[in-house]
Amino acid sequence: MESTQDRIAVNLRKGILEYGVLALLSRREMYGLELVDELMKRELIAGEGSLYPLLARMRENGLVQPTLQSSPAGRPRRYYAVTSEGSAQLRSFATIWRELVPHVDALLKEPS
Amino acid sequence: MNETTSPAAEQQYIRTLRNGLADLPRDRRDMFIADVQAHIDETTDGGIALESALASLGSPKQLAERAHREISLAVPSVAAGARAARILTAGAVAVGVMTAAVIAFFVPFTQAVDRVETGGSGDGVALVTIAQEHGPWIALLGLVPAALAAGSLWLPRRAGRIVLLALAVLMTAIIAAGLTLGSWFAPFTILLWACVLVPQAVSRGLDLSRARGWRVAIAVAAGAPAFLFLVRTSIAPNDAGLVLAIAAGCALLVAALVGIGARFGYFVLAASGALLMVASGSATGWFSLPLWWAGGLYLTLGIVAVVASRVRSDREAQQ
Repeated sequence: MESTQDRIAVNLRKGILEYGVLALLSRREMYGLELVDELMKRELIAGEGSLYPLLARMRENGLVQPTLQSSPAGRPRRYYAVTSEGSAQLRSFATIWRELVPHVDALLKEPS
Repeated sequence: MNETTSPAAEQQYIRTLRNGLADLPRDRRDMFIADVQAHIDETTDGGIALESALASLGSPKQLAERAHREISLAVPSVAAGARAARILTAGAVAVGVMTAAVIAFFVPFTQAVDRVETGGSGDGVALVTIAQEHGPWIALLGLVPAALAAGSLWLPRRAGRIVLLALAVLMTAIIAAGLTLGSWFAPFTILLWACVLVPQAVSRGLDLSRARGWRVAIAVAAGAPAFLFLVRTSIAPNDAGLVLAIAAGCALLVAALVGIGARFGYFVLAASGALLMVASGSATGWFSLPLWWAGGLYLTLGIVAVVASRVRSDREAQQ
């Protein structure tokens, strides 16, 4: 059964995951497995099952674009790149995040 | 590549996934499957067993559900199609239940051959309903079609659609076979056909607020029985005909509203259909079946118009 902690973490991640993906892709294009590894390293994702549906929605909204590129394995790889719309949304998120975080920190420090 | 799990397992996974995405437009479905396939290929190329690759993706049913949910958020027509399916199926179940009640408790089914003394009404023949003849439990039999339609709501998408289609074909065959009681299921059956045909069209972008041709077709279908009735009444007028003539005139007005795309006209059409069905079901005599059918037609057309037209705020949110 999900603990309260799990539930809180899941809900927080739901809002942030999309921007985590955009931030990673804005550094360089990545293929699916790479994205999964990077997101799992940062504990933003529990499993691969969460990533691909999200990528489908982001692609639908014009935030990411899949491309096929040749890879060392021989089989062409499916890479994801951020679009200009995706970068713009990431910038907006960054602004809002920087405004929010200090407020939340302060709230948590206030004596009860 | 590790051979511990056969490629058949992969095929099965993809097949289950594809079935769960049956409601999506084909291009979205294919793109998502391509993403997942690429992931599986990458993972197994990297030396990981197919088994663990599939396990880490989660069950194909859950994956399909998540994908459907996310894509619905971005593609309003998909969500609209799912909503249309729910509303139309619920309507079919309601009409099915009503039909079962009507044929069991209200439709005169057999005529008692012995003339029964009725208090001066001059009508010496007693008409009995099925329930009076066979007991009220017979109504449960009539509920079977409605129960099957309701059952489709609990099945996964594709299986539910297949059940509805099979039921629609079966009910159509029963009506075509000409059994008296079968014809009472006509409204239920046309609603079933609407369940089968309309949600997919809506998922793929059908929107009556923009598709004038379909709007006009629905308006004509709604207006035609009323128009024909008025023509017949003007040729052979009678007292009962006056009330119905006024009703038919209103029906033509509603049809006009539907034609121009006034959304409240769709609701009025559906409501008047339901009212007609209720009115005809409690009447006795030869005209009740045609009224029941007309009511069923109007109810179906009204519900279809409501679910197949997107409200302006929906469309604006898309931009």
